[in-house]
Amino acid sequence: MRSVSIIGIGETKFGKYPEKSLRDLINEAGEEAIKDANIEKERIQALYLGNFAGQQLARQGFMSALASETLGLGDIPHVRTEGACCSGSLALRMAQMAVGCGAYDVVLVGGVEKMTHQPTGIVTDAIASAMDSINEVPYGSTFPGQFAQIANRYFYEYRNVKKEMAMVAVNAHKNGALNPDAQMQKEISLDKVLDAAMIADPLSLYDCSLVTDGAVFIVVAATEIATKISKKRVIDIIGSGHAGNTISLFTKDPITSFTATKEAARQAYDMAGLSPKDIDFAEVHDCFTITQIINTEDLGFFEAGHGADAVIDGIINLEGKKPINASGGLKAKGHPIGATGLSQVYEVVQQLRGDAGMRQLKKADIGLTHNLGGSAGVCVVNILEGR
Amino acid sequence: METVKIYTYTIIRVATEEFSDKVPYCTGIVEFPSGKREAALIHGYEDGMNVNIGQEVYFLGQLENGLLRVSFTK
Repeated sequence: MRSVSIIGIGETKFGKYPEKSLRDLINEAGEEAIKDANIEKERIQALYLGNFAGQQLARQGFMSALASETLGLGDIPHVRTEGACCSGSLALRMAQMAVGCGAYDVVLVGGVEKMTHQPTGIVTDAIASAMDSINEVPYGSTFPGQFAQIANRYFYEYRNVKKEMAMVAVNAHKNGALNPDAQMQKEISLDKVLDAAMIADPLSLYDCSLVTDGAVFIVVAATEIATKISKKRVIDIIGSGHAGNTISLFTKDPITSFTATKEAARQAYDMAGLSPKDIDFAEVHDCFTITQIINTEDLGFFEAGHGADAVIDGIINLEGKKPINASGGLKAKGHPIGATGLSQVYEVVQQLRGDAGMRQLKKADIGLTHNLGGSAGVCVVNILEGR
Repeated sequence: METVKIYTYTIIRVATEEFSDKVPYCTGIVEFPSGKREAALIHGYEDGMNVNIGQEVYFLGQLENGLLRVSFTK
C-alpha cells in the first residue's frame, strides 16, 4: 500500500440549522474542502459519503448521489458508507484503502447529517435503529440506555466515576467555547452537570452528546501527488485501523472495554510503528462521558480502570500531557452522526497545521482519531502526522 | 421459580416513542445460571427502588412472540 495524505478540509458550523437543507450543508463543506485542497473538481475520481439516518431523519436515502450532484462531480463513482456513529470514518477508511492500493489518486470524502428539526422521540428512535431490533430494542433500551448499562457495570468492576464523567463534560464545553464551529459556545459548571436531569441512570443530560446538523468534507490524495499539489502542510495518514464486533451489547464480554477499539488501535499503531505514548493528542468518541473514559483506556493512554484518574489530574485538558477532544468533541462541538468521524479528522488536521486558533496545542505533531459505531460494534482509528 | 442475575441495568427516563408512556422503567442484561446473557426489561420497577448488579430477579418465561419476561416480583 502506498502512503495516503489529506490535502483539503472543510466543514459547516455545527448546530441547529432549520433553514439549511442537506444540499446546503453538503455544498458549504464540500466546496470549502475542494478549495482548501487547491484542486479542480475534475481531479476528483471518486466520492465516499458517510451518512447514518438520512431515511428516518430527513426522508433522504442515496446520500452519495445527492452529494455528487450537489457538488457537480459528474459521472465519478460514489458510495454511501453506514456504520452508525462511525459512518464518516468508514468513508475515509474506504478512500484511504482505494488510494493506497492505487485505484485512485485523488478522492473526496464527506459526511453529513441533519437531525435537529425532528422531535426527541424520532431522533431517539432513529439512533436506536443501530441496536439489535429483535433482541434489544423490544426491551426498551435506547442509546443512552446502552452506555448507561456500560457505566453501571464499569462502576461495579472499578469504581464510581460519576464526578469524573461530569468533569469530562466540563472540559468538553471549555474546549468547545474556543472552537468557532462548535455547537456549544459556553462553558458549564461542574454543579450544573451534576444537578442535571437523568436520561438513563447514571447518565444525565450533560453526559450525553448533542443532536446536531452539520457536514464535513476531506480531500484525500496519494502522498506522492499530494506533495506536488498542496500549498498547505500535507498531513499523512501514517496509521489506520478498522475492526468490527457484534451489534448487541449483551453479546460482548467484557462491556467495560471495547474489543473493536483495541483491535483498530493495534492495527493503526502497528502501521505507524508507534505506541500510545507517541501520540501528542487525540479526538476520541465521547458519545457519552463514560465512553471517553473507556476509550482512553482502550487506546492505551491509561490503564484499565484508571481513565478517570487522568481526568482528575488534568492530563486530558488542553494544557495537559495528553489533550483529549480539543475540538469540544461530540459533547460540545457536536455529533452530526454521519459527519462525526470526519469532524475529528478536521480537528486533528487543523491542529497539525497550526490553524486551531485559541485552542491550538503546543505540541501537535502526531494526532489520533477514534470513532466508534453503535454499541461499540465497529471502530476506526487513524494516526495523522504533519509532513 | 427460576431466577436470573442482573449483569447490568439502567433506569430509562427518556424513551423511544414506543416506550415513552412506560418511563421510568428498568432495562438491562440478565445472566442465566448457565452463564448465558440476554437483554431484558425487568418489570415491576418503581421509582426510587434500589437495584444492584448481581441481584436476583425472576425469569417468568417467554411470551408468544419469543420475548423474555423478567420481573422484580413473582
